[in-house]
Amino acid sequence: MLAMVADEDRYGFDIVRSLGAVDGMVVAEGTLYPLLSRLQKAGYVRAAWRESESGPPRKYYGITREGRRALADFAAEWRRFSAAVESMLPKGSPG
Amino acid sequence: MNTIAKPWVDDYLLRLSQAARALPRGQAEELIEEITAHINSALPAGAGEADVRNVLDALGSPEEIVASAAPEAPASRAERRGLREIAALILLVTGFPFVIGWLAGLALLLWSPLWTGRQKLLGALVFPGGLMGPLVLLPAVVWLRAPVDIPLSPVARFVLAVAAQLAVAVYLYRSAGRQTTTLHLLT
Repeated sequence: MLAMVADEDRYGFDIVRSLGAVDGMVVAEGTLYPLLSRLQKAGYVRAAWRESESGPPRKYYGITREGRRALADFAAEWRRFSAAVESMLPKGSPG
Repeated sequence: MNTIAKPWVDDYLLRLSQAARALPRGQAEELIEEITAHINSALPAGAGEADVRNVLDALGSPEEIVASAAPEAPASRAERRGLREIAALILLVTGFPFVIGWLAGLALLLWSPLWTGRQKLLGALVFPGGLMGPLVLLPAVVWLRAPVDIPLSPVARFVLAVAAQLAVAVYLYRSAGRQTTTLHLLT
């Protein structure tokens, strides 16, 4: 989720739809909003209302410096974990 | 929003606001605001019933959303070393109130997912009746003057039994903590 807002500020619906489009990430879309608000509370993202060209103002989310650090930590940890699992799995085509 | 979509959306938002009563007020308002904005963005202008239902289905049920907004999911809380594990060990060690305390401790020990079958067996075997066990058994043994000559004095035996119990309790406490951290890494 942090990675979704790492490059540019985006609004909730946009983030949720992009995550939904990634294979294997399909969850109940609505549960992503509480997650966003939790990240905001943790100081990893900040939110601000912005006028939109069409319709009512939208709440845009962007990553904070702390969020960027958390994302980098997670990415490093994930690569380590993923490499460890990869090394244990049988080689060749899956299944 | 058109007339086909409105009743569905209204019904959904009503269920959401009812479920959200479990949340702190500010958090509930924010959630409802976000979900409402989501639905408005997701629905095409001439949305039919199928479009509405697809959007709402993709969101998940209001109850599911609210459950995910609660501070801690109950499932993950149950997997941490908490009151249950501590109570299990205290009850097993003290065995108080007599027999009942030990049985309650045993039940908690078996219930907790943080211990392996082997550790549970260990906990159940090493505390035969908890502290109350030796306290009650010792005078009985002394009174009967067991014909078998045991080299240790009753006091030494008592101290040994208590030390063994405490050692096992400390071991079980720490292994439950380790189990906690492993489960964390997976979530």
